Amino acid sequence: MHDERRMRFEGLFRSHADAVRGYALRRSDPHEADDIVAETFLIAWRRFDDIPVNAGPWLLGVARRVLSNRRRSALRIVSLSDRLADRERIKPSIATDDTDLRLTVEAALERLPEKEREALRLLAWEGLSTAESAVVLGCTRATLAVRVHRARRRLADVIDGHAARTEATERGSWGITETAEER
Amino acid sequence: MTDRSKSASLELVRETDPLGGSSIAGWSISPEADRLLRRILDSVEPVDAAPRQHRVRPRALRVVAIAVALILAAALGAVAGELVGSPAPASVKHDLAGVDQGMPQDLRLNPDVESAVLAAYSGNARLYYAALNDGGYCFEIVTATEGARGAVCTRAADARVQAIEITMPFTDPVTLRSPIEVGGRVNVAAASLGARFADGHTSPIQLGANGFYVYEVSRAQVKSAHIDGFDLIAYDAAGTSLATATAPPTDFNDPAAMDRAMPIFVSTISTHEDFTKVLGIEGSVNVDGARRLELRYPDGTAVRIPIRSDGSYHYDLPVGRVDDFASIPGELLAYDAHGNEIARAPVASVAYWHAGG
Repeated sequence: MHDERRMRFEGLFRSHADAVRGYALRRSDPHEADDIVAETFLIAWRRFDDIPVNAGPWLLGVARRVLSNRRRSALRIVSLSDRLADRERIKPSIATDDTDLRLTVEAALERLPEKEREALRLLAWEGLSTAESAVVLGCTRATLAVRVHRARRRLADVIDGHAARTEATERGSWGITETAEER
Repeated sequence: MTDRSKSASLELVRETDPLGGSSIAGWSISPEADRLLRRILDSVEPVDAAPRQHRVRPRALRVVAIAVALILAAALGAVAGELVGSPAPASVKHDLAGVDQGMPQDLRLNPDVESAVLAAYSGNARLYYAALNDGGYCFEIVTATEGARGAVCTRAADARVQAIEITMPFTDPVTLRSPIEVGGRVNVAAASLGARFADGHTSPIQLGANGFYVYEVSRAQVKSAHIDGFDLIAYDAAGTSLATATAPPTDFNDPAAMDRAMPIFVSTISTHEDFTKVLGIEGSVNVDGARRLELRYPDGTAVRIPIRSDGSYHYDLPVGRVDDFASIPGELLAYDAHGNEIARAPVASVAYWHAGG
């Protein structure tokens, strides 16, 4: 009986470890990612009977909580400098090419509420469906849809702003503020 | 916003994937993965699933449950004073225990769930708490309409640096009419606690056992509390303020609201080619009565920055000054009409902050 369970768990591990590790690598450094994978599957083994048939989103949900718990432990006492560092914004002075657009999008993502940001990333990075993403985030499909809608709308505004700045730059303007004032 | 950019947004997010095109497949069959798998399988046997309670909640039942909860809450309200110290219901104990669910031993907080009790109440809201071994605590707010709002834990070391701990549970979607409950613990020796709203209105908050409190914002103040936030103030027996904590305005997914909440919001303009340089600064002065803004360089020299009518400002640093904030912060100072300093904020390069400040 136990051998059968071990075999089933090994099958689960082989099927999903890459995805869990990818999830962790995208959100932490490689060393921490390995720890997250280990903790996630340790929890999965202890709660083997709780795992649903579609185990992927469940495992990513556990990985998310493990990651969150590690961050919470580390950041319980947030120093002033840390808060200020979070507050500082990296703002490209003049956006001119795809690299700058990517930086702009990354900066915009960082400014989204965490749950909206994570919803978008699960769809775009992990390639999950809306339903699967909802399982990871522990919310309803409707809630997830609202989060995704809001996040995409905000990102779209950023993209439009980028296009406008690029156009202004190509016309020989000096940058965002100056362009706005000239108008 | 254009349809094109909206549809492109997901694709753009995809392009920010840190793993890019690199494949993550194959690790699961690597020797490293094998070692991890063996370690997990040898660590402990899985826990057999306990018989689960089926929680069927059709709409009709939910309506009945809410009605019963409201009636019970109303009845309990009359005798609530007698309930402080009474045992927490099983559902709350379950939630409090849930903070450790599935966590490895070294990550567990181990709240004393069996000793969990009601610590504070306000209207239809209740706060139950369980102690941690280190002197910290876990608590959960329960309301008649929303039920249990999730357990929150604070270690003793963290409690010591929070004079007034505030937790504001919310349920999506939040609107200006959504009820607001706050709860937590006053970690200083206070005799009383009160709420103060942006319009100057104040409201006393009953302190429960061990400094815990829970407070329902009245309907009349809910909108103001969502928009402007409000303060909680702890007083000593003489009515002197001991500590203040701010319940922030509701973030209706508007990060700019957070910026506006700062006395001086500073955004440095950088180039991604060199994060030690500060090309300019911009932001807004949000403190009331600010008439003059001054940038003070690390070497002590200062330059005046005009404040626009809407409170915003923008200043491009001279070429010779873009390196001044690389390793030492400067300051922005706001003054009132009489020349009194009323707010200040540090200014430094991205590299400085990333180095840990």
